Amino acid sequence: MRAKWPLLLKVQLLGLTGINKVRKSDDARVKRRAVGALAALILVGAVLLFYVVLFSIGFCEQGLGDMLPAFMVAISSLIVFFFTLFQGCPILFATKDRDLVLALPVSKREIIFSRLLCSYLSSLAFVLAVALPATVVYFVYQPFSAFVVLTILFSVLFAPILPLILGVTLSTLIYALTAKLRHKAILQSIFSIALFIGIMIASFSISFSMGNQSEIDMGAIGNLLIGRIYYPALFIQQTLTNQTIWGLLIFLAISIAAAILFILIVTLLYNKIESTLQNRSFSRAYRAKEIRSASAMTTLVKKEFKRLLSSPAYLLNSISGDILMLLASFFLLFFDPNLLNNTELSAFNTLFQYAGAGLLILFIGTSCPSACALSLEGNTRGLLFSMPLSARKILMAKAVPTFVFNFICAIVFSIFFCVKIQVSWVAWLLTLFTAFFFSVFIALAGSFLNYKFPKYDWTKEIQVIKNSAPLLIMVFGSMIIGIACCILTIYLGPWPVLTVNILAILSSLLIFLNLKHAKLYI
Amino acid sequence: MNTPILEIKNLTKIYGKSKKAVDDLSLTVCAGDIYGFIGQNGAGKTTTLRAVTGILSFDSGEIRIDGHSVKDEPVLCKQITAFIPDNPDLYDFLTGIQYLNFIGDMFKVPKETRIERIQTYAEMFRISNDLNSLIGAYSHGMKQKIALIGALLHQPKLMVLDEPLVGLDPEAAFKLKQVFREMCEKGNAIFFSTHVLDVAEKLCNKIAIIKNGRLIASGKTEDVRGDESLEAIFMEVLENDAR
Repeated sequence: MRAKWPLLLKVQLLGLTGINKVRKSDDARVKRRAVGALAALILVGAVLLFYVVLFSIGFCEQGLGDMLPAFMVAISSLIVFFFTLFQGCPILFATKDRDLVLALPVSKREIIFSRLLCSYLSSLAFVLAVALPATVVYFVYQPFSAFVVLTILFSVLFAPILPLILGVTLSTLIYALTAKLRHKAILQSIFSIALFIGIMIASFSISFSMGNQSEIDMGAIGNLLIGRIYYPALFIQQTLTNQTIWGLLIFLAISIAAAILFILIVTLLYNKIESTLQNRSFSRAYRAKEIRSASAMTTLVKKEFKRLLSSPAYLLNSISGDILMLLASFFLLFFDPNLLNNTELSAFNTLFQYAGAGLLILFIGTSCPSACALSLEGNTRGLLFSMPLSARKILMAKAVPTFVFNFICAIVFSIFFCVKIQVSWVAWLLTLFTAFFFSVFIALAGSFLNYKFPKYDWTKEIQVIKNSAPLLIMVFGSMIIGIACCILTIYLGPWPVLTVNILAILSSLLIFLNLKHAKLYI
Repeated sequence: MNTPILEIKNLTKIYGKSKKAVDDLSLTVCAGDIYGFIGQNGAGKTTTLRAVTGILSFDSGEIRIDGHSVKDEPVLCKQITAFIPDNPDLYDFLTGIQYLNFIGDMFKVPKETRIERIQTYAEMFRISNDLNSLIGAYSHGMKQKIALIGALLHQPKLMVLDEPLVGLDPEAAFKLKQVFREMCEKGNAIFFSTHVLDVAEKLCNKIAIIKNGRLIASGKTEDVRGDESLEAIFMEVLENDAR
């Protein structure tokens, strides 16, 4: 009998990439959006390429080139793990097309395999984007060897499997444990964030326990990541160091065994997991006095907050920059400002006076739920668009949670940064201005871009939360501006940050005025 | 009761480059009308209803609700209209009462009126006890009931419904038809699509039949069907048009 998983995989990939829609649609808007998405993807690729090449050169220049392949596998595996964890179990379970797929004459094993394969392929694309440029840099510094090429090739091909399986398993466990609880979405988010922060803090604890703080360099970080945080990468490291194939074979065997075991177990438990995940908490009977009326705008904003808090995948992916800001503030709490007066770090606070503002731009841009809030309306958009509301009101309401989350976290980070780094009053002002104006800009720009490039036909919300063009433009655009600011302020003082702030204010005004003419149609 | 509530004039909607979903369609729904919109699958019913409610742009023609243009004054038109799509895709992350309160806020329904209407309709459709549960946990029929209560909450001048009876239990369907009649007695209007010709025949005072985007028959129900059943007329009209 012919396997049906390729058909399922094909449909999933068509949905994920949107290629079919572009090919088959007569609508010029669809083509324009596809060009926008492609441009965003190219932007992302270019930024990623830049960082990977820069990092790889730095690594090789320090004489650590032989560690580079294993390091890249480790770092990309960790990123795949966290992304999978934050996507939640909808990779495999509780998908929008669940009933449709389950009604098809296809085995559960094939369904699971096709879904896992789809996630594997998208993760592989990321791992390849990291590994390919790193490998090129590696061979610029190291002599060419077919053995090394093959080792890297197989390592990369199998690298996403373990983190993917671990991420899905943990997120499914979190979902299943909280399924019956009333505030399960918030609890799922809290558990996932706690896991993320726990791992980060544990990693830092290990690194501090390794010895003196000043000894922590790239080599130490490499050893930490390969040997301690992501142990399987050590097999690749050993293969390359000892020129024996056993390490690689063990790595491949572990990955394949984990995949087979996972598919077998999940096939057996599929129905149970699905029914557990579908558990709903029914509440006490309704009492009329609980009603509270509010203005349309307030209600819309409340709805947006509820939407954000109702989906752990949406929340975790959309406010990752805010989490990082809080995490950075937490670490700054333990930073001793006296170090700046009497050590080699004394030049730090003069050089990086305005780096706080640059970091803010980077972090705020990474947290932009408004860039996918409209797309997330999906099939319910008709309901919203039929309300007696102007499009501007709807889009402004969608921008509010982004602003609130970003502004609060940015202010916390700004205060910690400015106090601990002991910056001048000008830097204080600029950092606080950036916290406010860039938060406003990101919230509005995200909403505006989503209005211009909506994607309503998703089957898994992660398709718009993680991969949509507006989000990629916001995240990577801010990343470029933020890092450029951090570097340029060293040479030019406050001017780059000031310029960005002025541009943010002007752009926000333009967007606000432009939204007056916005019209929302299904 | 001859005041026009909904006027559609020469409505044309083209999908892609040449697919005419609605072709030069004109009809008028007056105060007190229960207007049935009948047609085969893909005839253009849903497209027309969506254009009427202002959620789908159209290529030419004009749609006016209570004298206001849907294109030029969309918010005003939406304020006096209620729309229920064929598939009640509601916010799964809200509870039933949160959703109704959301709709109440959107349409600026005063608090006391809101409480009273929610209570009345929730009891009528036997869904009071489930209002505190998440919509995601509702059955298709329960979602349909919540969507209906939401639509009735602001007592719209015009109700636009796409297959409103699908998924409802017989008691709820009966009560909904009663509500339709009561609303029309008050001078409001109902414009809805249906595949159930028997319902259209018994409930509607006016009927329009659409095929391939074109209106092929419209008017008072008794005038359209004459001495025959609506089913016979529907089949006859479709066949005649095919020739």
